[in-house]
Amino acid sequence: MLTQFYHHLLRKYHIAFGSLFKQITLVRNDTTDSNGVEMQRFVVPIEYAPRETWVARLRDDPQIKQQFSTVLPRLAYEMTAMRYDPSRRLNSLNTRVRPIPGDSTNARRYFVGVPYVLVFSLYAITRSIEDANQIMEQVIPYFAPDYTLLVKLFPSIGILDRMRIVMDGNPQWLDTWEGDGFTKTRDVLLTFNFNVAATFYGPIAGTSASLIRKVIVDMYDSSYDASLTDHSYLLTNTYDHLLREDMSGVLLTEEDASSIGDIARVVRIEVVPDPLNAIPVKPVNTTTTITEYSDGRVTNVYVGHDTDIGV
Amino acid sequence: MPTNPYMNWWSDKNEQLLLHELMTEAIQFHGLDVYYLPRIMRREDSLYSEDVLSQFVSIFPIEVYLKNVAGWDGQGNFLNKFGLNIEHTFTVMVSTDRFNEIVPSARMVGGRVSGSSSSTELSGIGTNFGDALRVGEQIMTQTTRQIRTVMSVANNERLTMNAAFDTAVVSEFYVIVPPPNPFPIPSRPMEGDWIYIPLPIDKMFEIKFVENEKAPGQFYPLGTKTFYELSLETFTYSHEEVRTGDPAVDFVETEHAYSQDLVVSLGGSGDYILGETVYQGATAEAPAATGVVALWDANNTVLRITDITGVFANAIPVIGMTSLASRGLGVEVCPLLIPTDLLNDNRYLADADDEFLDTREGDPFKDPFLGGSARC
Repeated sequence: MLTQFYHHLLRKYHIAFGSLFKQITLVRNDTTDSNGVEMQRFVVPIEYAPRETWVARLRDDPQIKQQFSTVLPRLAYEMTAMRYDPSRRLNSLNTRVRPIPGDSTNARRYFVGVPYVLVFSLYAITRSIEDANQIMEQVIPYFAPDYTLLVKLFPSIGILDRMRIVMDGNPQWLDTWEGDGFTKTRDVLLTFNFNVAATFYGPIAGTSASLIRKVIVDMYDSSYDASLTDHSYLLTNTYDHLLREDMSGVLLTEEDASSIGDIARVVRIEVVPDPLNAIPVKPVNTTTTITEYSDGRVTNVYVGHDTDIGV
Repeated sequence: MPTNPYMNWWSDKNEQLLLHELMTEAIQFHGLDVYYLPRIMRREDSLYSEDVLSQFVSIFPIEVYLKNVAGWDGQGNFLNKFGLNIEHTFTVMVSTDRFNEIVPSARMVGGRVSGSSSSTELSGIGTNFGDALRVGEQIMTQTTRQIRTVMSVANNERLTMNAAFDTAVVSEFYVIVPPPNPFPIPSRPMEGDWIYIPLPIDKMFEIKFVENEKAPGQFYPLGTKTFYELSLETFTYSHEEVRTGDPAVDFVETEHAYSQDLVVSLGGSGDYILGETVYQGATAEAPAATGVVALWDANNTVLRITDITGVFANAIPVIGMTSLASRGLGVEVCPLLIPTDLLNDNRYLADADDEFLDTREGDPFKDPFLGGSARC
């Protein structure tokens, strides 16, 4: 809990969301229908709305001589809230393993992320309905009602997440033409609200995990198969008792191992990477070896090697 | 019962003229010289009642009286989602006589026309001249600013001018040049027109409302109206074309309109001229992209253009219509880099998302305008 870490995840989500709208382009033709000749084309500026007042002043009007009110059209966006998303919750004890680039012996292991919904608002302000129409038509077709981006939240580690962006409710259209039109400049304000599926992760860096480089599966052929293939059965480290536990590890039964003395593996399947020191980045080639046995041995899950059970 | 015929408070012309002159003189004594910019509508939208292609090409110096003596009204400086807003409002008085004298009522604008540099003919492009033009009237092409006199209207779509054009006219709008009319048609300040107040105030305003009856002293003294009271607000710029020829005013477009910096470093020669139209394409008549020169840095071969149409392509010459300068575009243009807007994050977002947006399943930013990529 006290380990310092900061993945810049919120910043990345802010950038990724804003990026969707960074190239909205307006074209003004000399006629109101689609047959007109293009007269102007420009990209609509977008910015993250909240800001320091003094920075805004210094950037907008450094010489204190701004000769007008503002320049339209403009886009702005901000994250207005965030809330836990129980619908995407995973078992918090689950971990994922990602390779360390260039390291063929270790990998990083991290707990699955904590799901949150980030609430974003996108605002557009224009001087005319025509401009507002163009912006509206360039935004809404992409959200039906969702649009999903594939984001590399940790580019150096390679963690990929799907950033699902869902338009929340209907866009709002506010035209200020009524009332103060003769004293204040009319503008058209569009507001879009979005829910963005985000995932947050705890510390990752510096944690290494040994890689599984060999998988061994022993197959049996006896009435005790269930005892040896069901994960709830364990052979004691002295291989003289067979234990059966429930999911939480509570002992349910304990039997003398002699009861399984008449069984032994008959087939072993081994899978190893090719080459053996392959860097764990997809795709990894593997070599599978299938061996038939009649040696009366089993694999002891505690000590990790074959054990003669005296068959 | 009729009014007393010996008392004439409503129609004594001499008294009215005196009052007008007194008002004009009072404003000239205590007023301020400003510039009046009439709005020209190029694409009035009859459905939405708006015009997104408004243009300001003429400028008229005129004196006004500032009614605010203690400062601006309005919200002043405030910050909202879209940045810093400066909302000043105030009221000025302008003499009706002086306005009629200074600002002509003719503010008609025609449609688009084209003509070659060796011909006296102009063709309307989707333009029906109809009754808009008469023989003897002068028109000015708005981009190349060539003034010619109409000799005949061959039909509703062709004009013959008094002389061939110096440079080709390529899809330009024209305006009717106001004639020096000894009996000017009364005009009035119009809502939507702009007023620039020069230094030390140095601000541009939009006329929000023209009051001609309600202001104190305005309700028909001696049966006449001697001044207009204009409610002004700092204007909100929306990429209107401002080409008056006066840099003190044209800064609005050259410094604040959407612009692109073209690095024309790939061979060629010549110097571009401020305000001229540049284009890419086989011919000026059918350009692939056009823009208007806002800045030309010959040392660094950087050409800043506004009023852009189309997409400027790399390694293609950029040709000036007036200067005939021709230099090859040496660096691919990034449309997200807006040099006249210091606040936007467009370019930052494009650079920053490169690191972590995975486009293997499809690039959401592919766009024909951007040449298939926003990575610039």
